[in-house]
Amino acid sequence: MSRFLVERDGRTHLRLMEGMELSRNEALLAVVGIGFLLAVPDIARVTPLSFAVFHQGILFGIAALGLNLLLRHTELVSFGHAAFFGAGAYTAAVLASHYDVSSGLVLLAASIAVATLLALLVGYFVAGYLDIYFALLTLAFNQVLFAFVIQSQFFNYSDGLRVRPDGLNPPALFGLDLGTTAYEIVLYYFTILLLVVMLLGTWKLVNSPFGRALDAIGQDRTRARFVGIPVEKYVWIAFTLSGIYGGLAGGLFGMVQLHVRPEPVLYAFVSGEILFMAILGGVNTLAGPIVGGIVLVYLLNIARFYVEYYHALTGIVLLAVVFFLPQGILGSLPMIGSGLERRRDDPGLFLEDVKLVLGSLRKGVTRAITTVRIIIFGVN
Amino acid sequence: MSDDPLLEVSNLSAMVEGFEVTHGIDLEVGHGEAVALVGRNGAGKTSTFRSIMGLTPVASGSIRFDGEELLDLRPELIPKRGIGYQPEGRELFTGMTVEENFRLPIWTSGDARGIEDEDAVVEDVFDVFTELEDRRDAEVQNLSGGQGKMTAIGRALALRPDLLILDEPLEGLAPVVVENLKRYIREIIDRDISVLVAESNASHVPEIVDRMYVIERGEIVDSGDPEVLAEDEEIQMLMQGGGE
Repeated sequence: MSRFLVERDGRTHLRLMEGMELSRNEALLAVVGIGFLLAVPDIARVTPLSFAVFHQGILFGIAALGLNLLLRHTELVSFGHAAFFGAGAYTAAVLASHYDVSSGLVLLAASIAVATLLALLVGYFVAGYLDIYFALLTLAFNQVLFAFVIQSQFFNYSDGLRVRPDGLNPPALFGLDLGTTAYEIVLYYFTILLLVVMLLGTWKLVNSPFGRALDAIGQDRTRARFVGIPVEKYVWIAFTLSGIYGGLAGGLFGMVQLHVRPEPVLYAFVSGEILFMAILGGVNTLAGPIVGGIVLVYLLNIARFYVEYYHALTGIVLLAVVFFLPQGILGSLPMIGSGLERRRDDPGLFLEDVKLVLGSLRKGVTRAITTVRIIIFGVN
Repeated sequence: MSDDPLLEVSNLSAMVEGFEVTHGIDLEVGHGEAVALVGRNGAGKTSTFRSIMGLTPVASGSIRFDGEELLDLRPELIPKRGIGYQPEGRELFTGMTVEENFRLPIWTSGDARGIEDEDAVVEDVFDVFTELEDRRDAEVQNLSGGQGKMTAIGRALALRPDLLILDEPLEGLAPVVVENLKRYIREIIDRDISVLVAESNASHVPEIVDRMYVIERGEIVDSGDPEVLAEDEEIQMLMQGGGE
């Protein structure tokens, strides 16, 4: 076996770094996923796929990745993570429109810094709470921030601010003078680079002693305390870290959209959507929140062209996930994969599937006919 | 070594859900001493232990460990001071292996205990619980009852405590496992670690400890030589739910 290939339980694993090994299927999925993300701008040129919406989905997915750090490991449900996304987006907007800061990297660094400070502050107050109290406190902080921004002249009320330092052009990226299309493409690939770094960093973090301590806290705070884990301090750190993801994603969102308004980035409903993205993609997976972000943002943006009550779609998709894919999209892949594998080995199972579907249909039709008969002819 | 007791609980009254469940408990554990707190279910053993670990509120009294008042400390600082705790039941961290359960306290509190060589400490724990050696990579939810108890005690040992508090370590185990576990506990005591163990079966106690206290309805009602007390008819009646 080479440096990058190791044998585990009779199967070959790809070793990316110390302690990070992927099975064959995981490696394949990662290669296909990254290959697809890199090809999105080209795919969008020849298909109806919306590149901008896709980019937006990845950014919300990064915020959901941060939220999942709390959800998956400390088992805390935050209804306020839009606060950090919004803080990141508004920091970029304020610096660009009020102070003419033109460097994209400076805008991004400031977005992260402000979101970090905000998460430090909010985390200090919420780290000692659990369950519904934690959820409500995070929601309350989010709403206070939203109300403050939407009523403030400095933030230009509900009209928001532009992220165009000279009032016309987008921020500069890496000192390059780029046209609109090139700006979007460079920013997209920069996002993909940051996404890969964040995924690797998150993996490292959750598999570190700190990550294991968060798991312990999530299982039982009392138990964690009597082995010496400073529970509130660790939750506070985790909360702050999760806010950093939001700040980074929000800063990039501002630079992508070039205009930031309160409703799409700060409203509590957005916090709910970020939470839903993590659940949709798969809470117990690393990249699930990214998949959830892309799928949900894409659905919400595209559905409005086809369905009048497109917001109801979120609820319908949530119900479908809870009933049919409780492990989320990415979390259900192993189950789907093993099901397909069993059917490949025993094609007779397909026949069972067809029988099952036909049986359900027959029951449904029989029930419908009976109902119609009762309506027309009565019970007897 | 100081003549003062390592642990000195004085006039301790613990509260559970607003009710006083122990009343003026006095007990001591000396350096290197093994002491039992014996009482039937609901007598107040667990509440006393949880008070010592800072997990149950205290209405009055004092808990001094190595001269320091523990009531002033946050619960997570108590293991750092040198008290290891095996709670009633297993209370292990599921989804983690036996070895990870041992390492977790060292990762978060090893520095405070002056532990420099984490691997050496973990191997020391496996040296005590030799039976766990080939289960080190097993996730703890897949362990048998006895192995689970051993892992819980091993986790409490991982910070090289001066005092080990064991809450009913022998409860619910098969007789052969009980004998093994008694042997492991004696080995821990032989390593000069003080032990305070709760038991609801007085007959187990003389083989393990030097001294015992009897607790009934939240009060210490007797104390002394375990060989004598375990044979005492009144104590035996008390353990079986009779007597007054």
